[in-house]
Amino acid sequence: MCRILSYLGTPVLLDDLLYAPDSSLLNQTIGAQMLQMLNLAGFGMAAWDEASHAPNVPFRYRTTQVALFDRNLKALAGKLRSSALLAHIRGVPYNSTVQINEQNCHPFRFEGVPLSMAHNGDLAGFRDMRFDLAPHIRPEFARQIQGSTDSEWIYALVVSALPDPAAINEPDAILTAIRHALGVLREARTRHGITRSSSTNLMFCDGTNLAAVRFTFDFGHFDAGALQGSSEYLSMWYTCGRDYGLHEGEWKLTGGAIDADSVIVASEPLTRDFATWIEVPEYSALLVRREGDRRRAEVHALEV
Amino acid sequence: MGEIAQAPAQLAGFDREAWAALLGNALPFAAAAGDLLFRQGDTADALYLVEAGMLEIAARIPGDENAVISQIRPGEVVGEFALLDDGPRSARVRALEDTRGLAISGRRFRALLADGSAWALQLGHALRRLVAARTRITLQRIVNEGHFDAHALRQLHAGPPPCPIRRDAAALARGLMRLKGFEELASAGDLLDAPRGATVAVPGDRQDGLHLVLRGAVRAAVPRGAMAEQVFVFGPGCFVGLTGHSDGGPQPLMVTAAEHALLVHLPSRELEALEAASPAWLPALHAAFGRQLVQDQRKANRHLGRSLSLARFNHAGELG
Repeated sequence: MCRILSYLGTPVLLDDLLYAPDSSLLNQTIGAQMLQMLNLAGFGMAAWDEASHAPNVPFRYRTTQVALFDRNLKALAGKLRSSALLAHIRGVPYNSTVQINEQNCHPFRFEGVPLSMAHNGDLAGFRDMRFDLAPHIRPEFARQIQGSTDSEWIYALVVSALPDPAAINEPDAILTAIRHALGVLREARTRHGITRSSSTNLMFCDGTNLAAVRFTFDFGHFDAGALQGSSEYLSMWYTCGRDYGLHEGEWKLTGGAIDADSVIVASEPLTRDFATWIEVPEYSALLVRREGDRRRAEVHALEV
Repeated sequence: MGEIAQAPAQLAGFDREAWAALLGNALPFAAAAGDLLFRQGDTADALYLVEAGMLEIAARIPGDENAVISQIRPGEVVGEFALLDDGPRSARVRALEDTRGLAISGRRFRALLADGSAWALQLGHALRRLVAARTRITLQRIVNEGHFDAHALRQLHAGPPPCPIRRDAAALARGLMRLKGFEELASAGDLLDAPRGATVAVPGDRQDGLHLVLRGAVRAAVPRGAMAEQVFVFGPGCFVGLTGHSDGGPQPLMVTAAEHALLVHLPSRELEALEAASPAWLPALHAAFGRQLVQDQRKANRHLGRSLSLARFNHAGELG
C-alpha cells in the first residue's frame, strides 16, 4: 500500500524532499509512520524544473529497484532543483501474484498529457470491473495503458474526462474530471456488487497545479473475520509556507502562512515531529493553484 | 513542598484517600519564567499540576507559526494526553512566570492502573472528562468562529434514524484492532442498521450512552444551513458520542451515516452495569476511551488549525 509525495513551490533540491527529513519518502520504504507495511515494489517520480529544456515536460524516473539502494537516484537528487514534484514508492501484498515491473510504477503520464498521477490504495474487484471502464477511456489513452494496475486505469479515466488533456487544465477542471472518474468507478462497483472498502488516495500534478484526493469507496466494509479492507482511513497530510529547508535543525516550510508560496502534500508527514502538518480531511480534495508567485489552497468536499 | 490539599476543579471527583495516594505518587517540578516545560513533538512522559505560577500552551501550525491556545493557572493541569495516549506532545508549554507544582509520570500511572489502584482509576476517569471538556470547547470554537472553507461544506443528509437489525455482533467485532481485548462489548448493546445518510444524533440531544461502529462509517459535522462542515469520520472500532458520554454534556455535533453502517447502541444503563460488574476487560475499554478522546481532541484542534492556516495562506500577499 504505497506512499506518495507532491510538492509545488519555489525550487528545492530533490535530495531535501526525498532523502533528508527523518521520515522522508525514501525512509518510508522501510519505516513508514502511518502504515504497517514495507514499500519495496518500485519508485517513480516526475519533477519539473523551470530552468530545464521544455520546462513543461517533467524529468521522469521509474525503477523497480528498492530506491534506497539506487545510487543513480541519489546522485540525481543531489543535482536537481524542482519547482514541482510528484514521487511515489510502491507497496504491494507480499506474494508472487503481484507484477513488479516498470510499467506498474507510478506516477503515470501518457504521451502529450501534462498531468501526472500517483495512487495510494487499491480497488477491490478491479479485474472484474475493468472492462466496464473501457467505454469511458478515450482510445488514444486506452492504447497507452501498459501496466496491469487499477491505478493506471484510474489515471486513464481522469485524463479522458479532461476538457483538453493536452493542455494545462485549471484545478477546477481537474477536480471535475476526478469526480467524473470516481462516479464511473462507483457505478461499475454497483453493477458488479462490489462493496469492499477501497482506498483511492490520488495525487495529480502538472507542474503548475496540484490536486490531492483523500477518498475511500465504502469505507469500513469488509467481511467478518477477514479484514481485507483497512479499517482505518488511509492518511494524507499537507503543510504550507515558504523557503523549505533545514531551519533550527528541522526540515520544514517556514515564514508563516501569510507569506506562503509553497505546499507539500504527502501520504504522511516527512518528519517524525508533525507539528506543522495538517490532515487533508476524509472524503475531500485539496487543490493548489498557482497565481503568479503565490499559491492558493482549497479543500473541496468529495461526495461520489 | 507546598501541597494541593484537595483535587482541583478540573480533576473533581476524588475522595480524600485517593487524592492523598495520588499526591504520594507525584513528584515536584519547577520551571523558571521563560523555560520550556516541553516542546510539541516531544515524547510525552508526564502530566503537570500547577500549584503556583503560570504556563502558556502554544501549538505550531503550517507555515511554522505559533498559535497561543491557552494559559494554565494554579489549580489547573496540563499534559494530560501523556497518561491516556502514547503519541507525542501536541503543543509547546512554556512558563510565563516562575512556576511550580506536581508531575505524575505516565509510566507510573499506567503500572498502578493495571494493578487496579483506586487513585489511578479515579484519575483516569477525571482525565477522560477533562479531555472531553477540552474537545467540547474546541468544537464550540469551530462552531462559533466559522473559519470554514465554503468548498469544503457538503450537503447535509439527515435521513431517518437507524433501525434494529439481527446479526451476530460478536462475529462483526472479531478482528477489529481497535476493540482488541474487549470485543465482548459489541454484544452488550443493540445492533442497528444505518443506511447512508441515517441520522444518528443531532446537536443538543441528550445522549443515552454511546454508539460503537462495527462496519461502515459515520460523520460528525457542524450544520451550516443546508450544508455540513465535517469534523470527524468514525470508522470500524470507533465510538460515537464519547465527548458527551465522558463530560455528561449534550451531543455537540450532527452525526449521520457517511457509509451504510452497522452500529451497536450501548445505552447508559448497560454502560453503568458494566462499570459495576467490572469485567476483566474493563481496563482495556477505559484505555480505548482515553485513546480515542485524545485522538478526537487532536483532530478537532487540527481542524481548527487547518481552517486558520488556510485562511491565512489564501490571503498571503493581500495585506500591505
